[in-house]
Amino acid sequence: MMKARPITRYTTLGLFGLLVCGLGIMFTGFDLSGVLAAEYAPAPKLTAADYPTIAGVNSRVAVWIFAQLHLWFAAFVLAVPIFVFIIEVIGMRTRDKRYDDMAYEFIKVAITAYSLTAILGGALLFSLILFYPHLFNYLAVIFSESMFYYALLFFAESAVLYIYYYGWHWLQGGFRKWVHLTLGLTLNAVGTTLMLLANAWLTFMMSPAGVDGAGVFSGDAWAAIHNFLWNPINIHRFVANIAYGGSIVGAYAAFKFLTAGSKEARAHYDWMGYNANFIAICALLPLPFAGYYLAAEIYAYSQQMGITLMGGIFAWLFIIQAVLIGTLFLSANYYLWCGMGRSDGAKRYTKYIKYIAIVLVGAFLVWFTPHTLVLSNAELKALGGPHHKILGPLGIMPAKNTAVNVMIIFTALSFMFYRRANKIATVNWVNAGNAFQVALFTAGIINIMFLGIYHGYFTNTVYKVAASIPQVLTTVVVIVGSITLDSFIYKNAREVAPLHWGRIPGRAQYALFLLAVAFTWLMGLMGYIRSGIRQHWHVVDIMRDNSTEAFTPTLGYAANVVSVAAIIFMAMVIFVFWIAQVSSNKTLPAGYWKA
Amino acid sequence: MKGYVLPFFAGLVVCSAGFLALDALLMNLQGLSLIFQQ
Repeated sequence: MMKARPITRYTTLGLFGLLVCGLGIMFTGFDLSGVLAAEYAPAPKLTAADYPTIAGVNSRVAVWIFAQLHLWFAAFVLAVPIFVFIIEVIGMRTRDKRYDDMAYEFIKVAITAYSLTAILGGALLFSLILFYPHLFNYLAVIFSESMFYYALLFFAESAVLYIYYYGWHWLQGGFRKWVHLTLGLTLNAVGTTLMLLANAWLTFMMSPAGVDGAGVFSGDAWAAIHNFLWNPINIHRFVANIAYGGSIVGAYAAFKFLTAGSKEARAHYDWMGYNANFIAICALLPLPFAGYYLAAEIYAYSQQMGITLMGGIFAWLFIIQAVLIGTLFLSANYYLWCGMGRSDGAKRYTKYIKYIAIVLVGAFLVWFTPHTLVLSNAELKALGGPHHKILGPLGIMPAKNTAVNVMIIFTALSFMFYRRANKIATVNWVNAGNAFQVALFTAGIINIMFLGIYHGYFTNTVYKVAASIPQVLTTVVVIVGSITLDSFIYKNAREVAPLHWGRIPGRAQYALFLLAVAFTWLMGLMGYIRSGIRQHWHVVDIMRDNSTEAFTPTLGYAANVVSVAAIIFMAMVIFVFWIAQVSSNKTLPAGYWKA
Repeated sequence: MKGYVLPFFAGLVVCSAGFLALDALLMNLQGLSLIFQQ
């Protein structure tokens, strides 16, 4: 097989570097070309009459559903090229064609979803212009340049995506493969830049910058983009998108596994489902920390928004969020445990699964224990207040942080058992290595508990929050340390027997479906909270929402809207899966065509 | 068993000391930054 010469590799990477620099200049150069001398109007003060009513449609619900559907698809189509690129690199390095085929199949699913993303983005744009013309106009003045570049980048994204997908089989081998990989990298650079721009618009509405108290734009577009909550949202969305994309392609693999007609097809889609779940878990593990950082920054920007977020009206949605996150961890672990059945050597580890399950369920219960209970008067009287005297202390953040760190460590342990299941270590210090690993886990868990209990309950509030950082670092040290040690222990390890791909119960596939559904619902509910904490403001403290819908709906109503949107999204996803399947079916009608 | 118990306790001591050092470093750094802010 021909290999690309180093010079051609460097040329390709150099061209890509130039492209990234160009994008960077474009990105940071908004303020340079900004119309600094122009006069800008203050944010408009609207009345209910300024919001058009069209065909009796509830404007807020229409925008809400279109925005949510667009966001779900956008998260999916931005995430898939990231791990497709990584899988393609693995295929190139290992020269194992299965990786290349899997990457192609993942991008094939994303290509139909890409069209739907664009259609829903258009629907969102039209609904904003039609139902909220003054708000849209105000934002369009501030973000005129970024919206213009967004449109250009959208064309670039489409062009690169189509060449990347349709050129997959054409750009194979040697230098051509490097060109293809460069296209993949470009696709990710453009896609991520698109996300960063759109994030700036929504975070401006939460933490406006580049405007004065009356909403008069200073002309500095970069200040408006680089607002207080921009980077926390960027980090959270980037990580969450990967986890979400992994869960959706995992559901695709599960769908294909359950409908597969042959043993070979089942083995292929089992392998694909495993990889998708692995991607989802890898991104899921750091996700609670990204979420915690975002919430802490919201508090730092506005205590009022922070308290509304977790201590006010939305607090009970956080309980639902906790249940869903627990569901994600349980289903991801359950899938790994079922997957151990592929190996003949797994029985050495299956006896430990029940203990992991007990810890996960225990941590899950702490994770969703509410701080303040919703009670009737009689119940309040019987309890002596809204706080349970034993369970009440579990309702505060130090207990939640401790629980989630423990859940993450035990999920990593499940994964390590899975990795070990089919291996026999050959190094002579295997017992000492295992003992040290157990010691690392034990010391790490004791430290997390100590930080959570001592600083959470026996020091002042500042230390409660501060202790979360060493807790996170302890978790990182335990996971990275034990995986590193594991790789040395299992260096040159023997295999018990070849892995039996496809030897996994059907119920494990439903765990993959559960992962995708829980993620979707979770994103919808949390997205509503993030947007809802603006309350009666379009742009916080700058532009007031004076429409008839400027109130916070009941949690039941909000959950119903999100659930309806999630059902519509799932129906569209099933359509995408079906289309991906239809495209590979062929009918040869006998006697229909002239010979 | 001997090849297991000793490395376990040795590992426990080393890891615990390491984690305590990490805690002390991070909590003190944050404590100092709070003092300087005030």
